Amino acid sequence: MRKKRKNIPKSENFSVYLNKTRNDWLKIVSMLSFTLIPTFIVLDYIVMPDELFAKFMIFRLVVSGILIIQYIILRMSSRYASLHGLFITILAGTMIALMTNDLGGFDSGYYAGLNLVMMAVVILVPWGFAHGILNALTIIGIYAIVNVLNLHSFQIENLINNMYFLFSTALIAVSVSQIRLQLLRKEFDANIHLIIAKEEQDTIMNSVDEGLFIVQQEKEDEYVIGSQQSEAVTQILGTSSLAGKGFLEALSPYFPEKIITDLAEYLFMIFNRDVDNDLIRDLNPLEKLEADIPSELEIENKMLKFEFKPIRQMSGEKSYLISIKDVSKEVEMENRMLNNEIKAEHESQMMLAILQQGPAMLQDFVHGVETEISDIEKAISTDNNTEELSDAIETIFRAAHSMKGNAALLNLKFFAEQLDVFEEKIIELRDSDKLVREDLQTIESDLDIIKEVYTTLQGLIKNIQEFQGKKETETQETALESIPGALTELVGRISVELGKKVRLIAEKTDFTGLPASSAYIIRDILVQLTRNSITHGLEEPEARVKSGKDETGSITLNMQPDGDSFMIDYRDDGKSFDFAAIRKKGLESGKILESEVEQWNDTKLLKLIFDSGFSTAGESTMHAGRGVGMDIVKQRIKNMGGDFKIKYRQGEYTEFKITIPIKVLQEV
Amino acid sequence: MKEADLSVYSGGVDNYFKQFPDSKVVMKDHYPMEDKFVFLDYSAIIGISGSRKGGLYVTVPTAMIDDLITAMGVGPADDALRKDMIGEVANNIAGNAGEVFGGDFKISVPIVVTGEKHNIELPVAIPAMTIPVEWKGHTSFLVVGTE
Amino acid sequence: MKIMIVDDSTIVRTVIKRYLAITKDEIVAYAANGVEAIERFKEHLPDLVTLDITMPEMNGLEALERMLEIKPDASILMISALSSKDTVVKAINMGAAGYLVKPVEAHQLIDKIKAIKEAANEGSGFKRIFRWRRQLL
Repeated sequence: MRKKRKNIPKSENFSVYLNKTRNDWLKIVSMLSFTLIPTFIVLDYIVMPDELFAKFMIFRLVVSGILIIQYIILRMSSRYASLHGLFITILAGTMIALMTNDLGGFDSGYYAGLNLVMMAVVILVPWGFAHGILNALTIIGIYAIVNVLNLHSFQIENLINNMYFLFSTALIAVSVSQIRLQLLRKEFDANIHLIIAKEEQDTIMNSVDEGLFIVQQEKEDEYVIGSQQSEAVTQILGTSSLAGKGFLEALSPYFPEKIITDLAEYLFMIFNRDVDNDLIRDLNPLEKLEADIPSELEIENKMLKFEFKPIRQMSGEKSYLISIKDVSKEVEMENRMLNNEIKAEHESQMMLAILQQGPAMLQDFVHGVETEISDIEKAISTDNNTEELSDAIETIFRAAHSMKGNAALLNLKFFAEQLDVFEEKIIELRDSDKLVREDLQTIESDLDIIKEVYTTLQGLIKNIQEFQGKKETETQETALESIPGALTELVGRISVELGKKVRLIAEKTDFTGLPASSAYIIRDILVQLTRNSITHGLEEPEARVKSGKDETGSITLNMQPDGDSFMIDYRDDGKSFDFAAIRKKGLESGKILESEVEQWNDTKLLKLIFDSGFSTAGESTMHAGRGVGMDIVKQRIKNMGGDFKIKYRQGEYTEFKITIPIKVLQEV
Repeated sequence: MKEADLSVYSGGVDNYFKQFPDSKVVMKDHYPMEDKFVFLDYSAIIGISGSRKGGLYVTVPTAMIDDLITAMGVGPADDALRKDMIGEVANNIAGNAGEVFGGDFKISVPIVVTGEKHNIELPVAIPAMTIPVEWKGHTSFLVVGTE
Repeated sequence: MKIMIVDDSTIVRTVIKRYLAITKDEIVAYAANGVEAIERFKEHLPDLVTLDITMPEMNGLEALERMLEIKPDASILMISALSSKDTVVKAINMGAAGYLVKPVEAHQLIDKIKAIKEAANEGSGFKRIFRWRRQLL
């Protein structure tokens, strides 16, 4: 590699180059001379007078011998080219001049041999004017001097003729030599430009972050990578040079087969069809793509971005500059920003939801969630036998479900969604055959997520309360009174989502004698009942109209103290229990045996609904179908020593009459 | 079906109505649907095959489809034009989704039905998502369900 | 330029026809599916066809192939709601002169037809030789 030439001054650089070239040519001249000169012995033998033949042969052999020695010197060193040139000129010129003298001086036609010497020495070597003229005149001078020193009689016309021819040859030879020198100069400049351009290109190729190379179409389905490529190519793709390899073959280890076939189609298009730059960009199949890059120890996953830029080459053939960028960091950043945005959106949604709630409700909600979370934690840390493990799971399940209901009640969508995910996890556990203690610990990390969201929520609530300047104690009073309003909102939301029309009518709401702390329990029961009514009981508007009902379903609510008990009277005018569906579900789940199906009357089936883990909804949704709603109601009421009665009429209504001892409520 | 998939279809709705700059299209919160699918006056159903199997349908009231036909500068509306129009709307929404889902996302020619009563077997995978689409004061629905 | 419009939707055909009123090209035929399109194409041998892809009977890509067999220098402009990259690449590789994704607006269609006309002109006779010489010099 001719590197670093750029630093040497150009002119000095050229003289080195010139000397080298002249030396190369001199070697050729020398070689020609020491082969041609002895060859002429054959001619001499035919045409020369016998007495001169031996003398001429000695001349020729001596000169050839000297020339061989010169040739060896020329090979060893490229210095003193012009002196070497002059030496050959003098040597060969003197020899032929002496021969013309022996053959009759200026009258001899043997001077023609000097033309040959002139051509060899002047034309073959790029001397330029000065040296060319010097060499040519030296030859003519020697001819003149030798023949004048040993003058034979001659005719002046012959001398004029000979000189005429010699000078003409000299003129032509010198001109050619000059032109050769100029061409050499141009050649040299062009080479220097190439070298500089190559160096600049190398610098660029080694310092850009993008992988760069050129791809050309060789045959119909063959696309070949060019000889030049930036260093980043090997860094990004973790391979050695791709130069000369097929583009498709070079990329196939990194991408799935489908991408490679798409790429083949795309390459065919951009090489063979008339496509504009927009199309080249828009249809690029490697726009932003995951690639598996094998590194030393493992396979690294990178996001790569390829770009195709068309280049028209001088030959008119199409080729493309391919740039490859590793955009893994950018993509990661984008994703992180997106996540932050989503998080911020969730927070602002929760904020909005909180702002719409009364402070009493919020306080109560925070209270409730704290209780449920501590219940879950207690259940997780249980360390007893299998039977108690499944009890623990049920407890966790109920707690999560209850929290979800309350979160939905307050329209805290994100929190409710997180709880839904949590619940899903627990269902998996509950359904697994062999439950071990360690399984419970696996949900701890999930609980941590719930707690994290809850902490955020708690912070938001606290901020708002401070902002609103309200103290906890002041808000306690209204927690119970806010129940009907919150339920109305919940009914509104769920019914819209399920495409139903429902209104809630709270007729009597008298909470006399009840502490604010009981609000959570009462609301919890009502939330489950309401969700259940809207999902299962109340029909779509069209169905209601068909069966002669008002298209809007209604839920009627009465709450008041009745002696030592608090009484909740809840009623919806939906189609009531679908016993056929319950029976079917019971059969499917194995709770009802095929053989005993006759014995399952409606009352018995009704009891089944209150069994934990039984639900008639087809798929579980956010609102119902997990099979815990009724179970929770039953459990909560039983736990407080309360009681509840169900009244229903198929197609008309369902009614729940719930009584809870006020004493118990006061102790909660 | 993923949430991200759903936004691709709603993007298709947006893209379609963008050609009428004078009126805005509004999509409400989507909700799941398992049975009792909603059918308004005109509905166009498209089957989807490939890696996402299922289908989608667009269902609109007559008044809305008439407004659409007028907005396209064609008319007067009759039954044939209405069927034609709703088919084209569904085709556009489904077709445009291919830009994100790629070549493996194949769609059928739309089948158009009128009213609620028909014997078409819905190709929609369950649970399907319903997106209410409001335009010029009319409410229509896009229902999508793929595996 | 003789143009043919192929789309299974009457409304789309009407709208395209209205857009084309601006370019003053002669619309020689309409078709509503691939099979009908091929028949009309043989009959009229149009210079340019706007061709939908999702159609009953025979889809647009098949029709594209058949049309170019009949008249290889015809310009076929695909107009379809299908927007996946590989469908577009496939159509262009099969010889389509362009691809527009529905819904199409007037200016998009007119610009595209202008570009197709220019390309068709450039692709023939002396212009091509001159362009080639320009590149060499």
